[in-house]
Amino acid sequence: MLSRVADSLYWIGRYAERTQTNAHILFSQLEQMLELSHKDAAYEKEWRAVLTICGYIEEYETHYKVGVLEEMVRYLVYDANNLNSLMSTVNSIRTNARHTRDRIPNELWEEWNSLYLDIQDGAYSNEISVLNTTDFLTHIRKTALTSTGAIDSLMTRDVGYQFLKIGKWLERSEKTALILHRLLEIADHLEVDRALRLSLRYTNTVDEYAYRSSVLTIDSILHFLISDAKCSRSVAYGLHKIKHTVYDIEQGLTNHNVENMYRTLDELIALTNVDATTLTIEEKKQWVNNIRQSCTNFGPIMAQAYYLTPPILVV
Amino acid sequence: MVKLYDSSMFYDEMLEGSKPKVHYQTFYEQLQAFSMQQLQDKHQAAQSSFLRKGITFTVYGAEGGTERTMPFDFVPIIIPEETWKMIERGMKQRVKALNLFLHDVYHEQKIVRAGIVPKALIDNNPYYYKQVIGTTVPLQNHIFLAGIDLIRDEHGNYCVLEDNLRNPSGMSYVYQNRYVMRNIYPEFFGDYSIEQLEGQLVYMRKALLAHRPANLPIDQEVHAVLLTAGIYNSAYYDHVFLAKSLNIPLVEGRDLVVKDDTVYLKTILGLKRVDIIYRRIDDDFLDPVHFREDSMLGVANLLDAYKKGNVAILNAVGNGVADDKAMYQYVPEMIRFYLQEEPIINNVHTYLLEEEETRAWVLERLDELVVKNVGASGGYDMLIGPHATEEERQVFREKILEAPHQYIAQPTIKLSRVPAFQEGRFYPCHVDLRVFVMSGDETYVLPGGLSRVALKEGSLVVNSSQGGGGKDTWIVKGGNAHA
Repeated sequence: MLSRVADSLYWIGRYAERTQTNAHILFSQLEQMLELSHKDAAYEKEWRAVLTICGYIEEYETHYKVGVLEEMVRYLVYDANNLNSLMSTVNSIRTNARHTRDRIPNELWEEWNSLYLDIQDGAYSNEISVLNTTDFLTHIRKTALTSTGAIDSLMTRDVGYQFLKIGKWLERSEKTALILHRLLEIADHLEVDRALRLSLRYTNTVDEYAYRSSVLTIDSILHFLISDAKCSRSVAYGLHKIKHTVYDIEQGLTNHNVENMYRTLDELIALTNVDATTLTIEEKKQWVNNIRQSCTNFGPIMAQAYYLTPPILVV
Repeated sequence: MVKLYDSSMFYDEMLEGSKPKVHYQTFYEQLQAFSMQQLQDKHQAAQSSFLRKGITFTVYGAEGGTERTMPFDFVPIIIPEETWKMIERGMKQRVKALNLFLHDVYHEQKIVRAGIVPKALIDNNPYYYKQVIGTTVPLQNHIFLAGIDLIRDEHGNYCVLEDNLRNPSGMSYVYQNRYVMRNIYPEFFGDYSIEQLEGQLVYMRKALLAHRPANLPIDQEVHAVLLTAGIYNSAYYDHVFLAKSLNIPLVEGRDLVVKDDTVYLKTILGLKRVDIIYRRIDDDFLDPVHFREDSMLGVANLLDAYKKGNVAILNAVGNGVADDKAMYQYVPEMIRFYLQEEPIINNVHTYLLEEEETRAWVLERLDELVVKNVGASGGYDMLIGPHATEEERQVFREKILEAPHQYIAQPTIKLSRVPAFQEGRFYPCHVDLRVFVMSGDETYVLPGGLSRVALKEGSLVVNSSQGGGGKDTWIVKGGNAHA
């Protein structure tokens, strides 16, 4: 597997997961918002959390005001200058897919290309209305889900598939930690119960959690979303998947380049096994933040291990 | 009832007057079963299919969205088997002679000593690379893939318009045109039995892998790659399609490195040897050490590995000297010289402009002739005299006087025409045919090729970059009807 191609596939995995999760968060937030007045105290706090999780709050605040719905939605969905806006991530997926078209199923390319073309053709104008935006978000989510199906049903289980999956799992683990960290930070100002419910809603695990637990406490949520190896959105679940995948790529061989990556990954997995019940609330926040930061740091370490070369983009 | 037009002014592929030729009869009858609205709907579906699949080319310098699709027209070019066999023989003959010429021109230059091709035409040719003089290439084959452009004159005779021996593109469109035709216009296939395209690329892969570099031990597996300039290259989709079909990695220059005169691929598990590079970037950009030093697309010291026989580069370096528009005039003589045969398919008559008397004759008749820059392709820097304004002719008059060796002139051929359906109506458009010839241990000709159509009414320029479109090309088995 070419290093450059592996890098592009890894980023398709990451951006696709980011797009799907951000579209879901925005969709559910817009839906919930219908029952909430913008004068409500929770309104601005929740949107601030969404801007942190799905975009760059500091960058946003230098240009716009938190609380103005049209501006927040435009920034998160349509703003080409926001590298995490849905427009930008869809563009990034398509560009990386163009770089790897000989290695991915045609159906996967066509899904994202069709969405890109619809956007280019003006199928979704950036005139902000709840209806227009939720239609667009639904289209994005369907594209993301169909492309996941195309990957799982049509792609050869080779190294390319594995890199795509590593990107997805790492993005997911990091995002779950980010969501938890942000909501713990504002839990004091929000009702704790509300923060916990939001964490399940943003991670799209409301139903999954309901099957598994009948209590709603900070510790049970932290265990579920950080340490529970059976929860499909938990940090531990994603990291175990990554570990199995890199072992599979190496096929038991010891390559000195990957030793640092293995060590970092093992340390990260160990971090998810901490018993949260023994920690104070401040320690919990610090712990979750450490996990998030370690996930962020792991990407470059893995890129170094596999000589990943990013594509040059000349636009 | 679908109405076409009266074809009497030009040779028409489909019509004799306003009636279909025998081999188009079935197609014509199927056509009558459709309403204009149905045809319009299918037309829209076909164009959008190309876009959704990302079968696009990039127009250099175009503003805004630079990815465009080549417009597709559903009226196919139908060629009876017997006619095709003649074309096939003619193509194999031509490519064989051109290959012998390329070997000769970089070695003994027997054809120069025999006084057939002027030495100056070789020495002054910008595509004659002195860096590879004396280099022996695998199978002594310089032309792995040729794209030979054919036209038909007013009598229906096939002539070669141009040889493309460097990086001929368009093969993916042959396949995609057939794919769209089968999916959107299945009715038209009626009772025809057509040469299938499926499986033909197996021959191409076989031809590719036959080019084992001289130093590769016979018991070692050969590793091939396709070298592209990347996603912004105009033929990127072609590269993707071929790499996928040939089952070889699609690589960019920075994916490769040369160490100890051996080429390696940068993989996630370290370096991996490369033996054959099917390159789709021009010679000038291949190696910044030996060619253009500002090239970001190539690989440093690649030429050293090539000259030492450690890697094969396809098509061979320096092929441009043989597909130059001035050298074109000598191809029939090459066939006679190297093969002792008469050309099966002729050239279009060509005037070289260095000789004063010919130049003066041409300059007086610019309103009747086509003038082309010998080094340009894709329909760029050319004058179609009868369609040009006096100002445009004056510009070319000055260009010719300034650099006469840079231009050639040809009579304006009444290119054959064929119906095209665009914007809800049928009208006649000029057409040519790019035939793809693949050579390794043996030579194969892809049945059909890419029919390119000048969709702008009255235009003679078929290049996609100039508004040309594509058509499916059918070789009809057992179709012995006169074409």
